[in-house]
Amino acid sequence: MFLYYLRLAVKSLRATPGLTAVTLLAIALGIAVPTASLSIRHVFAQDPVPEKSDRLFNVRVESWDANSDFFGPAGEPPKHIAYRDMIGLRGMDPEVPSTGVASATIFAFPEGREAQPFQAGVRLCHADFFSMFQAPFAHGGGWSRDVDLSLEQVAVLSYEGNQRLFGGGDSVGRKVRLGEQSFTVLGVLAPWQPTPQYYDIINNAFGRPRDVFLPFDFIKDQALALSRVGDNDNWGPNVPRDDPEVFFMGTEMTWIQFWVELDPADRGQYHQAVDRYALTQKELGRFPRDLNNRVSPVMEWLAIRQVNPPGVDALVLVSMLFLLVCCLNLTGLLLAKFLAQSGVLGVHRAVGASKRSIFVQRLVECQLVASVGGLLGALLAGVILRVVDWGAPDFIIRPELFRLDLFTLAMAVGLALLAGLVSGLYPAWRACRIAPALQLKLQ
Amino acid sequence: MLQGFKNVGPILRAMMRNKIRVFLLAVEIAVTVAVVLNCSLLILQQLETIRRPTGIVEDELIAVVLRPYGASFTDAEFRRQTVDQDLEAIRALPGVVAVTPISNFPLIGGGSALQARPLGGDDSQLVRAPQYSATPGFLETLGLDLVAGRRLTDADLPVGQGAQSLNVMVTQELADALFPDGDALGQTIDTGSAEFPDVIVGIVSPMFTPYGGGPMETRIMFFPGRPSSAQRAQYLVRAEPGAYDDVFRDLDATFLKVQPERLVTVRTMDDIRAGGFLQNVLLAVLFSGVAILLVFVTGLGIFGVTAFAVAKRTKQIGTRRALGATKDAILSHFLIENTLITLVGLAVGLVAAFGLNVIMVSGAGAPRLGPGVALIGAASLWVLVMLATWFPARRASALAPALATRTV
Repeated sequence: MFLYYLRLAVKSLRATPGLTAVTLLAIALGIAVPTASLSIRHVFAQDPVPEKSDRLFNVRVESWDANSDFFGPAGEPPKHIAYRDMIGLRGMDPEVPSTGVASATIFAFPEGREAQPFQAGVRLCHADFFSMFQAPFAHGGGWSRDVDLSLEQVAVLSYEGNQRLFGGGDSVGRKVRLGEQSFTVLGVLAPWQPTPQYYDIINNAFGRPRDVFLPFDFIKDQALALSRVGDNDNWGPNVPRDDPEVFFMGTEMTWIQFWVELDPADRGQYHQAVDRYALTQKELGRFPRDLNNRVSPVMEWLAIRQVNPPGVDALVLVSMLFLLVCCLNLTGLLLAKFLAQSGVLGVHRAVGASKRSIFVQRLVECQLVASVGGLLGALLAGVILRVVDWGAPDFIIRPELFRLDLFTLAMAVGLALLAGLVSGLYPAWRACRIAPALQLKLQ
Repeated sequence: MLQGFKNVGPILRAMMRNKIRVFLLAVEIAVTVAVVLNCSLLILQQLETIRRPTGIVEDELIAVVLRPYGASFTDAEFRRQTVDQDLEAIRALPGVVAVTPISNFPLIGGGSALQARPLGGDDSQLVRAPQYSATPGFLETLGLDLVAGRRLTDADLPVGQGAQSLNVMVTQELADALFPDGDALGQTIDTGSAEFPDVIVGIVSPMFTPYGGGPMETRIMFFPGRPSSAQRAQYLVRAEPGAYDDVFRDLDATFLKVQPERLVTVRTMDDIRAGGFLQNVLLAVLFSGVAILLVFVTGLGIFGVTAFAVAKRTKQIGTRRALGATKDAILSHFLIENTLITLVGLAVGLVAAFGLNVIMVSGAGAPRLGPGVALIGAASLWVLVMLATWFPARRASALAPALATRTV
């Protein structure tokens, strides 16, 4: 029966090619716009690590001085922590998996004479980084916790870094020259790009991953001379920079995103420990403001950072209203079409078609147009996303960030079927109520 | 058409016989006007941010980043000499107006900021300001003017390496924030270390650089210096508009001729700017896209529904023509009919627009909808409806009276 309806629907659609084309265009546009904006929102608002986003916590302490203002929403502590506080928090009892996250750059010298040195992006982190954030290793592995202190010259390469330095492959055990120093490769990551890149949401939320992962304290290695990059907020006493040890342990500059892994039930307990740490600092004459420390799970932290810009939600709302207008249009078009067919419908009814079968038949026709229009809309949404992708500079948004994926496709078809149903109900109902006798008489 | 308004009675009665069509069109127009008005507000808001005058000649500027990898760059004296040689070589290029090394590029949406206060002032007098370190040529390079006091000269450049007191230039906004009495010139300020206070010697013309919002975006301070580290140096080059492309092309080789052991990246200021305004541009483009498509779709819908109405009423139109109605009367019938529907739609739509605006203001920080924008938007939509009605209505008016006599 369904196949018969489908055949009737195709026939009816082919009978009025102009109207069918306009109808398809209306649906395709109506679907493309909300699909594209929902995809964009999805990129910004999705949970980057659903399996453990409730176990990873960003930690901040209120270390700012009493008077001056800092960037960011009122009532929030600074968005990073200072080096000395990272050391302090990592030294607390009981020990939990933790890592600092910061960025630096250094010249890397690929093997081979012709290869030009290039500015490599360095991810500074601790040993626990790789297990906490589930970094997938293609070869080898990360470094052990002792290396965080002993500073053996070892490195982990991202997939991209391995491509740039060695052209890919298993590079474990090979040496990579960074600045004037030589590092042994311990591990190479598989392509890994959480979206958003939550562990460094401040400096690299949607960019390419850094090339090289190094133990954090190499930032203090004067011979290596990494140059620190990324956002930082600074205040108060000027600390001389000549000796990195003195500088980093003395400055109030906040520049490190600090993460711990906890059982969600232990959040309160850990927060209390952070508060106790803050009290010890108050005794030292630091932390002049009231206690205002934060232990925020991933999604809370992303919300605080407004990773999903407020304009995007407005865009989704506007797109949905756009779809509504397209649905209204569609209702008008379908109504016009079905009523124009009154004569034929009257004959159908007169020779025995039930109201119900006329109704279902019309709905099948609507759903057929909607599915095809939905697919067209998905393609169009893909084009829109490509244009957005192409328009955004690569150094902030990596290519291919916005694209037509299964999520987009499923959403487009789902929206289309819903739109077809909503728009088709009234016209189909009107069509099935046509009185057979009246129509026949008019002929 | 004016004449046609006498026939509003019959037109209204005709509309009552097609309630659904009237309802669909009115709702469509209502939603369209609500959405388009709010989109326009958001677009205007983003454009205002993007287009805000920066006070500098960004169209004439070229941004150069140098990343040295030679070991000799670890020596501060070597770097100082290299800056001087770079400046000399770049100035010698034909078409170059001015050049300066600079600690950060303006317009990138961030940079480096300090907190300053009058020397001896208390913490409540601290003022946050983006800071730039550059050679005295920065004024001409950026295209800023001297408003009061004096320019910086080579004699103001720091001597040796350590911390020292410097003569600085500030924008009027920063001067006023530090010294509300308006006597900033010649005053001594504390920019982080009270042992080495700095002196304001000159005031530059207004400048704006995006820095996450707030008043600090126009409170800007310039230090004399030759910013260049072992890892990085940045230059701004101002080219004569006619010679921009030539200078742009030659910069790479010119820098490498002075010192080969460094990577050179040359970019236009537009590229640099893009980072600072990326989100604004993206949203402006997306909202414009939605608004334009929406207007298109609504126009298409009105066209379609009116065309259908014309087709359905062919016989009635023929009859009216046969009974003596002029072509103009038929044309104005449809125009008036759709005007009435539009008026209903606009009335509902304007209420909806203000409602939607409340959500947008609280949710997306959109500006408030004012009566001016609302009226312009409503009037434009009426014009759109008239255009979309015109073509099918013209076809209706061209129908021959003889049609009335045919049955099918």
